[in-house]
Amino acid sequence: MYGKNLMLIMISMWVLLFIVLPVSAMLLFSFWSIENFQIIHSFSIQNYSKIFQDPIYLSLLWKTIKLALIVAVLSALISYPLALFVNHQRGILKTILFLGVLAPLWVGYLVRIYSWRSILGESGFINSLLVMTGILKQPSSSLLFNSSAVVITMLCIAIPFTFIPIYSAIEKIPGNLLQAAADLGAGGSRAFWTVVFPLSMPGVVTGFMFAFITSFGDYMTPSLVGGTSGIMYGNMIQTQFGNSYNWPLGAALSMIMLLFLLAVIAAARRIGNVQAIFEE
Amino acid sequence: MKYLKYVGALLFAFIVYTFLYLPILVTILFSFNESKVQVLPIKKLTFEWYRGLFSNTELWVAAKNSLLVSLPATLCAIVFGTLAAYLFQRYRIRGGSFLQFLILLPYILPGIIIGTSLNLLFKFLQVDASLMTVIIGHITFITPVVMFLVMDRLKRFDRNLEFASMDLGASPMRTFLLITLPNIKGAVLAGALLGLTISFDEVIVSFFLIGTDNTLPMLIWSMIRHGYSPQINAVYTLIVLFSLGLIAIAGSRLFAQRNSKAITEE
Repeated sequence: MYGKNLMLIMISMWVLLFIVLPVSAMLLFSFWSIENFQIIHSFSIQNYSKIFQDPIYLSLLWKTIKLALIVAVLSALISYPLALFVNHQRGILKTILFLGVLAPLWVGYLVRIYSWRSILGESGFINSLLVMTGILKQPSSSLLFNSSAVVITMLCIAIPFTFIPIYSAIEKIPGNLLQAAADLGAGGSRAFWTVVFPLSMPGVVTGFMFAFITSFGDYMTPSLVGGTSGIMYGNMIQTQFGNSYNWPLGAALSMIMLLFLLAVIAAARRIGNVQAIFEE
Repeated sequence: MKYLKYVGALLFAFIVYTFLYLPILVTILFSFNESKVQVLPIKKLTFEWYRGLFSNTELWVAAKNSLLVSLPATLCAIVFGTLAAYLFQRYRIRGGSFLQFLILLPYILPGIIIGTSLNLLFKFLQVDASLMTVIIGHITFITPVVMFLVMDRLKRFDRNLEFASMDLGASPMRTFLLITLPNIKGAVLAGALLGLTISFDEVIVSFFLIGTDNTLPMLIWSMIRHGYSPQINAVYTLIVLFSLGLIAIAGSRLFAQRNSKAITEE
């Protein structure tokens, strides 16, 4: 009993130190303001009213939601058949293909963004291929520094995250369910839509949520491959903590992001299985 | 028809894997390219950029800093993560699932939120940014990784062994060290490897917490923004090989574990 309480105290300290205190600090700063580069330590909702009145902030928020949705939808559409394919394999090949999707997650986040910049760039990989094969006469500059470059790069980062929960949901479906479906006369596609697909839905929701959240908060991808038109909500936060030096406004922007994403997580948790991301 | 479907699936998978690995392959390829611009066709191969790494002291210092962050952060996360996993898996805690959810949050939420909120906390407490603050940031997202891997293992581990040990008079601490820990050490190790590689590569959280000492990804981030350098490709090729090596070790363990699991279940 003594041990249990000691452990509980330590874990509660963890939560306090790493979650409760930082978020409280963020909440506090978001109600402060700044004047002549000095923080005014008095309560005001100035930051929030500014964010909700100035169209710049809300339109950027909306644009970011749309972009993250596109990434999440594409990521789920690609990961699902991929998960079916990998699950269909047997033995060591299955393990290799499975880890093969996951490996890029740990093989350099920055380098993948950076590399997409050189792949899509005017003198980059794709352009030089197109010119070499004679499809293009001159390298095109329209591949990079726009929203589609951001989507492509984010997709490359999001797919492994989406794949894990979807795969784990599909893999868990007992084979005898499919057997039963076949015995009862269901054909391949009918068995898929009435058995496999509904049972894999929690995984799809979780994977979708993951892709959405990681893309939504990403600011490094937009600043490396987005150009001015690919800027997202996260970049605005980053600016407040950097060049603009307006921490209170940054705190308020972060706070809004946090609340919005918590709502997304709450919605996903009703249907999804968040723990699936850690299951092999 | 069936054949067509099969070829289609194969083609699809091939395209997706290419998409995932293209940036990595391009990085490796151009790390050997003599030209200072990343253009095809490659005219001449060279080890120049790798040789340059040895004399670039800034890079070595940054790599050392990265280890100084990742190792302690992972160690801390192992302790907290295992503790939390044991607590949630072995005892009924009121509000336990809520606590679990709170611990999980830094893993689900984008790094920018952890980065900004910790940054503001340190500003409030007037703590200067340093490698120490980065370590704290990294602990937040490694702990849930360890916790869930260990919880999953604990769920499958036969509790009667623990009861037997305690019936024989071992204290809970002794039972944990002699019975539980050896049984979950694979999961703890996997969590540590994952945590280490994730932390070694992390920039988003670090960005808001770093002081004057750069970690490797932070240094590379500043190099990237100033323009292209083939040396970045060389550094990352080495990191890729290192990470893939770690993943292969973890992966072969996983495979071995699965096989032994299959044998015991038979």
